[in-house]
Amino acid sequence: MTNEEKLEKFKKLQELINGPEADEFLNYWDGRFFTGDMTFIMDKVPFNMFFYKGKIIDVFIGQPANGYNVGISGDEAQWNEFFRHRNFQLATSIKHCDRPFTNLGSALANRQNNAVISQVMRVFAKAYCD
Amino acid sequence: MAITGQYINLDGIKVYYETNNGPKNPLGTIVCLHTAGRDCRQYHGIMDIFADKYEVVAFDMPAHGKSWPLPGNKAIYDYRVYGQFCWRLVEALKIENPVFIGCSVGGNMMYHIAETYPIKAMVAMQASTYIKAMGTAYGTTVDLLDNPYVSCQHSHWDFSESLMGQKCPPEAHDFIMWGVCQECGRAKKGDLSIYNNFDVTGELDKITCPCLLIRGTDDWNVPDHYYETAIKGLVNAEKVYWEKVEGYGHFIIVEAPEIVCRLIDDFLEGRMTGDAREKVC
Amino acid sequence: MISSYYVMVDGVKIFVETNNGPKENGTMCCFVSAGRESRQYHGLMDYYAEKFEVICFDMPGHGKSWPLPGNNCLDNYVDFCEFIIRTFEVLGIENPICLGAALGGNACFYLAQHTKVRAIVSMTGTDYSPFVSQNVIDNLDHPYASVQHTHIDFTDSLIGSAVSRENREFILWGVLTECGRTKKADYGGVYNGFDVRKDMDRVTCPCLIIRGGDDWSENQEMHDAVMARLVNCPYIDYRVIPGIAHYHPQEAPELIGDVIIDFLQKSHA
Repeated sequence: MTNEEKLEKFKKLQELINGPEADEFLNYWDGRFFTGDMTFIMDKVPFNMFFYKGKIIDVFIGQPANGYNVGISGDEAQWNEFFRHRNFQLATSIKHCDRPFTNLGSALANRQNNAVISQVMRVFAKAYCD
Repeated sequence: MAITGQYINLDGIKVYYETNNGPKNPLGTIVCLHTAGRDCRQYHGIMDIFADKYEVVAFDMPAHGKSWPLPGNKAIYDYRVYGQFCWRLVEALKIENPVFIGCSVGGNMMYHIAETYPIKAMVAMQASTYIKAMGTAYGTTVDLLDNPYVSCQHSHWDFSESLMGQKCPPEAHDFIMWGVCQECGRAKKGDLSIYNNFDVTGELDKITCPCLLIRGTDDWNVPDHYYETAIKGLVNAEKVYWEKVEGYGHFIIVEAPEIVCRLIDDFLEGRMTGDAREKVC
Repeated sequence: MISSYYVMVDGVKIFVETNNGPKENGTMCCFVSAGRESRQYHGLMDYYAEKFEVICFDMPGHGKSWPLPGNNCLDNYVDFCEFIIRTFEVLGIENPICLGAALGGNACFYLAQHTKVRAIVSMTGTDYSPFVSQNVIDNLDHPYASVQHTHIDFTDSLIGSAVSRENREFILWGVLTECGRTKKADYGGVYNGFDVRKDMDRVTCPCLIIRGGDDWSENQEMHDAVMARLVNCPYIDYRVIPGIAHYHPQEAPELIGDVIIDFLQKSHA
């Protein structure tokens, strides 16, 4: 898949998060609290999403202007593994993975937004694979 | 009689415990240890089911539920202290023939308690004899449980959610998630510090009592290899049984109390056959 | 000796503690401050072990009581207090002496207006409390702010100068075990929306109002206004106790216990 095709998947994610997934994302997974950049790096290519109170305002390829806020980074094999099990906790667990995803941004910000990131990841798996 | 609770002063700590007021059974009194950061209500299902057959006692560890914390508003951070506290409580309550059962960190503690104290039998659920999680990232996660900038009641939401099995009933699911809502960061940090620094594998040969190991197979956090390590080390245990329960996860005591009770009853009544060591070793 | 059990109220499993004291002198029912649970009254329960039956139950989502369906809590004072009344019915409690601190002190006024009570003891309570800013409410159940830390100084500032180290520590333990969702419902909903001023003339039982002398969050005018609205109260006793502040039953249980007994004797309650 080309980077442009992947970007289209992120735009599909944007539609899902802002549309049919919005209620669950905002209210069950705390998405309503999240404003700022969230970046997923796929094979060294950063795909950035800017959220405002849980709504995705913008999606683009590239690093966020102010540096990484929160997100994860992995290569194709890591992403494919995640798409298979769709378990964010497992994918980031140093207890279980020899090569867990790498967190982007500070540990603090990632803990604060753990539930938010986990759900964006799961919805992204839907957008990417289903 | 229904579940009732009381307090006992142990080493200056006011400790809360509940009992199902079940009959004294020569097969043993069941003593229950809760999972990290939670409290004895996790065992209400099991207590109710066993009400006519076994006396079941469950308590809140210091700093959990209704039990007071240690002086200075602290929790226990060392598994040896944790084990000693459990045994001192059993002595203080004059419990004879204790059958210890525990889940998650409480399940891990089964191995240490059985290695160290003369219990009648042990049931370890979602348990491991060691934890491979000593890296910086996991340490940071534990540190950030008791931090002003992170609500542990939110930051562990997805983790608990991910651990439940696909067959977990909705009421049990809600109660498990309510456990996250009520979590005390300081208590949870103590428990996960114990969890994170746990390794009693080298002393498994000290365990001589019968052992029942239960695994809810949807629990990705405690895969088979932890059980296999335990079974290989339990060389002197009277009996070792390993039961896998499909469709349930890490909080199996809340998710499937009927199944857990059936397995424990079969175990204590001697209805189980074979030995897990024959297959694993 | 304090013991506990569970009852079902409106389908919710409710935790009840009792000191198993004698019932001949009446039953006291105790109500906790926002976000807290029954252990706030252990000192008083022990002190009254030979004198009164003292009962304290955890409201839904507090302590060991289950939450409402959907993991929610009662978030307005009418539903909150009506739940208390239904719990009285389930427990078979009639004509109790009601004690409450802070939010619980407010609830006592509603209970005196809407059910038969023998007397009320409102500690740091009021009939109107729109005092909580929206900023505070919004951050009580927020992933970026630990309620168990953000409220430490607030609570610490509300503990009196004469309180023992042990009692102070356990009051602060109450903060360290706070549930954000429960606290938000209590503090932001029940307490902040509390207004029973128009029905204060329905209070016809003896009332004891206690204020901690070190409690900066209250003032004389507030209590004067409350007492002025208690126009049909047969007996009102107002005490300001130096050295304690906002958490009376935990700060000085024996002292508070004696004040309450004195009030009950003088009011013939």
